[in-house]
Amino acid sequence: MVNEPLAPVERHAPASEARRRLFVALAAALGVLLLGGLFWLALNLVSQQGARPRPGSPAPDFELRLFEGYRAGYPEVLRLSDLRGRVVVINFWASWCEECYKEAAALERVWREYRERGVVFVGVDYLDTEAPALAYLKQFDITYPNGLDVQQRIAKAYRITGVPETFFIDREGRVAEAVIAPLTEADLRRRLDALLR
Amino acid sequence: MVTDFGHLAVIFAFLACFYAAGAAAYGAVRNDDRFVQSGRLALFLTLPLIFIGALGLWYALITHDFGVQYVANVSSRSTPLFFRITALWGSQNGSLLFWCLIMAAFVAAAMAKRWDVDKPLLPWVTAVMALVLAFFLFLTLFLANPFVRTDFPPEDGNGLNPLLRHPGMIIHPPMLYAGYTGLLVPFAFAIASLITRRTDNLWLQVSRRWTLVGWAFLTAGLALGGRWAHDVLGWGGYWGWDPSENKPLITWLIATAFLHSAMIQERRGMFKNWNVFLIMLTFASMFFGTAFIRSGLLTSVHAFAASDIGPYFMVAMVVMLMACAWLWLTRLDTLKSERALDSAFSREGIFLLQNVLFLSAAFTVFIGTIFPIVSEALTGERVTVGPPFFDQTVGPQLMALVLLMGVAPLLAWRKASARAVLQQSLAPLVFAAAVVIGLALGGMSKPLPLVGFGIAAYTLAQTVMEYVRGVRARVQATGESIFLALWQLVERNQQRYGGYLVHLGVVLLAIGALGKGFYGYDVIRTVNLNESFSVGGYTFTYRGIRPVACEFSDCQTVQALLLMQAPDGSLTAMFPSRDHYPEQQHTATIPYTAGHFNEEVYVILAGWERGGAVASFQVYVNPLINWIWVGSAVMIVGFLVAFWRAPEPEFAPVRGRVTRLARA
Amino acid sequence: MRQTLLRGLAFCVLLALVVLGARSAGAQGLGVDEQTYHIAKQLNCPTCAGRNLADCPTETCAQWKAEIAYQLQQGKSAEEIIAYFEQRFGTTVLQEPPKQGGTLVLWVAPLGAALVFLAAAVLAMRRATHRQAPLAAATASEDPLVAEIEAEVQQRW
Repeated sequence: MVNEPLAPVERHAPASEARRRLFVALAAALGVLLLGGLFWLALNLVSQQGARPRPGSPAPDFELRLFEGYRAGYPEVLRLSDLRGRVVVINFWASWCEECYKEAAALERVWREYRERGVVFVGVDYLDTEAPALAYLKQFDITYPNGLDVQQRIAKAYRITGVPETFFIDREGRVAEAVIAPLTEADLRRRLDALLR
Repeated sequence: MVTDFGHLAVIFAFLACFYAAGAAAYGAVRNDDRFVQSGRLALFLTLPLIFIGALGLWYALITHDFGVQYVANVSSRSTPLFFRITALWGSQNGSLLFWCLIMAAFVAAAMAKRWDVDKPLLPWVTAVMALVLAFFLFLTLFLANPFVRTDFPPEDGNGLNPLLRHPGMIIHPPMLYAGYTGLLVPFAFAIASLITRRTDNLWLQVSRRWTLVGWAFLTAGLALGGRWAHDVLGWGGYWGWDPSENKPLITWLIATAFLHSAMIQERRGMFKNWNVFLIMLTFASMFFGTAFIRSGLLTSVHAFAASDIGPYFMVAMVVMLMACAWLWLTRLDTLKSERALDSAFSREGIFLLQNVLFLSAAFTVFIGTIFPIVSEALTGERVTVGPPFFDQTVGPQLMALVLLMGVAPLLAWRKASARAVLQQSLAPLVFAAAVVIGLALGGMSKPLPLVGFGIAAYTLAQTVMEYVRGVRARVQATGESIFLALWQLVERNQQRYGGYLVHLGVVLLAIGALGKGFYGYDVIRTVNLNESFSVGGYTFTYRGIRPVACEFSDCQTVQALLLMQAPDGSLTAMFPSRDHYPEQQHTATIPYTAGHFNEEVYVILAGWERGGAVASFQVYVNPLINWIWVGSAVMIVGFLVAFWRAPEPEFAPVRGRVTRLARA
Repeated sequence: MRQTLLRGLAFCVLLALVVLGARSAGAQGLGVDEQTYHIAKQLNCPTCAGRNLADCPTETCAQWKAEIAYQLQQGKSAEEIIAYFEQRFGTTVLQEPPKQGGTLVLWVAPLGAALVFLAAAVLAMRRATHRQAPLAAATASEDPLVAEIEAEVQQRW
């Protein structure tokens, strides 16, 4: 294995040397750019995990355009920050979600019972289409404010992983608890009583 | 007890890796062969040690030792023995151990061969391999340990993910792992060559066969993955541009580019630094893809659950990339081409073009795969990059590659003559034109698939012509019979004609992809009992549903009977079904396929109401999809032809060659 | 021999053009089911990882498909329906990222990369060819024996 080139190749012509340097510098810059991007992605990955609002942290504010007939006396666009001073129950649901059907009646009953005590229930309809959503609300005769989460903005802010998911917000606008399961009347009462105390 | 022993063995393997790397490097620097040998033996030792670890985990799986968390996660008392064995790679932690096992096997095999010839490279090859293996063992031991026990063993486990209970899924991961780790070998040799500042082709020639093996495993893994998706996922297709599919595809594309440009270095001594760059890129893509899938960054059909190994992967990746870039940049001078390019219109030139296309295709897949994350990180909204994007951007690039595949063999090395190329292209061009006209007359009016089929026909004819020309020359020269001539031709040029067979497989695959992509369609129909509906030329009659025994004890199967009448009047009974797994809250749609070779009819039971009085079916008509399986098989056969009994690369002194030349 | 082949080729190309021209007529009206299917193929189902709406078996997707069919019956066009879904659920529901705005980057990047790679290759080729004059006697030999020797020499030198 002799490795002499067939014909001598010009090695140190100044023009090609400069070009080579440029090339090397470019390659290095590209590499650095790539590495920077990777680092940034990695950091992003780490920060993404476990970003659900923790108990005690302020509940992300949002605006919710309410369905007609499901405004419970609130304006067309409900803002969470306007409810400061009240205990708020944010319930994420969808008409295609089987589990949601299990808790819908309980939510409505407890809402009727607690609404005089300064509790507000807010139904956030997730990834749903209009007609089945309204049919769902009608089926359970739901009266608390409900609206569609347009472009999943609220769901993203609360980092929900699915439906149903329910957030309890205290009077100071902080997240008291997040529940990732259908709730019973007893569950709701226990938590609300604790928050109202 | 046995399991803990296995755990211990893996810890020793981890330590052995560090010893191997240190001893080999020290031996190389001090020029002391005893240390190098010791390092080599230590690296050998990792194979039996990791195997003991795997045995330990197997033991726990087979004996239902639910005290081991991993066992409880992937199996249950009702899991059959076969699936308890394959459950070793059924989930993140175990599959990492399995990955290490396969990697150790490749490493040991590479170390076992040709210790004398490759001597100058081997200390560094040992060190590189040991470090890579150490990294994966680190992940296995510290971040995703399958041996971890729990203080409260459950009564029963969760059972294996129903999606993974398919032969395709059982062979597919080992294939991919073998592909990836096979590509570790040429990478290690390239790095060793850089470290020792060698300018020759030794690393390429030594690792060439390993590259081929890795490539073939990757190909088989991709094909089996497609088959699995077709049989199990129930959406009628074979390829969904899912992140976990794209990742091996990116590596495959770069590895294929490398395989081709390596030929140029071997023959012409050119593209040296390019080849080193390509193999680094191949390895980096493997690493990057594995990091993304395993860290749960990309949601996908079978992404592993989110875990915290992502950042470690990233750090390792960055360190590795920086080391590679430094080695490469500081040694650019030693890797100058031995020869100049005579003309762009030559085999070398077209190979370069083909490399460009492979890389830009790989880059396209890459950017489409990571774009959702990037967009989410930047704007908060996760943009979906679905198959339409890939079809429109990657599709044409792959078709252009198919075209190059037909043209390239016609171009001579150094400088090709346009006249000769045209002359040899004439017959295939006529064939392609005839095919296009035939298809157009037959009723295909879309221009894009016609162009695609034209290209495929041209390349098909051209590839076949390569054989024809070779056989004809032999018959004329020796008077052999055609079959003998073909045999002799292939036997004497295994790599070349094996390669053409692979090309042939690619063309068949392309034809299948075009057919399915442009002419496949599906409809969903809801019908009453005994009601009929028609799709394409087929008429279906719904005849009821019934529960049947499920293959596994933890599921319930409901099967529908659908009678299909083909356009030619023949009747086929179809039994699409649904498996429900109550414990896992999972429903699998089991398709039923019928039709003929060129047109598959694929039926799914989409749902039913009122005890089966009404049922919905999704019917896919998949033209030419079978060509994809055939094409994949032909590719593997082509690899076997190229690989089987192929002479080992010779490193004999030039003397032997001289006598041969003198005789000639 | 060559002339006949060439003529045959020219004839074939001509015929192909004629046939193509004749066939490019006619898109026929589709039923609601087919239209729904075509629209669903262009949408993405958020509850189904990586699958389009048409192929997704979940309950959410069944509802979405029903919504498409309903809107079609209301006389909405495919574009309007897709725009409705995008407005309601965000760009994430589009199978194909729009070729405008931020996602245009995605569409341009492959093309840009291909051009950059190509430019680099052309540059490298030009550098390689300019470095020295072509070797003498670069003609590939037709004689297999001579060709073999040449190959040996090239490979082993």
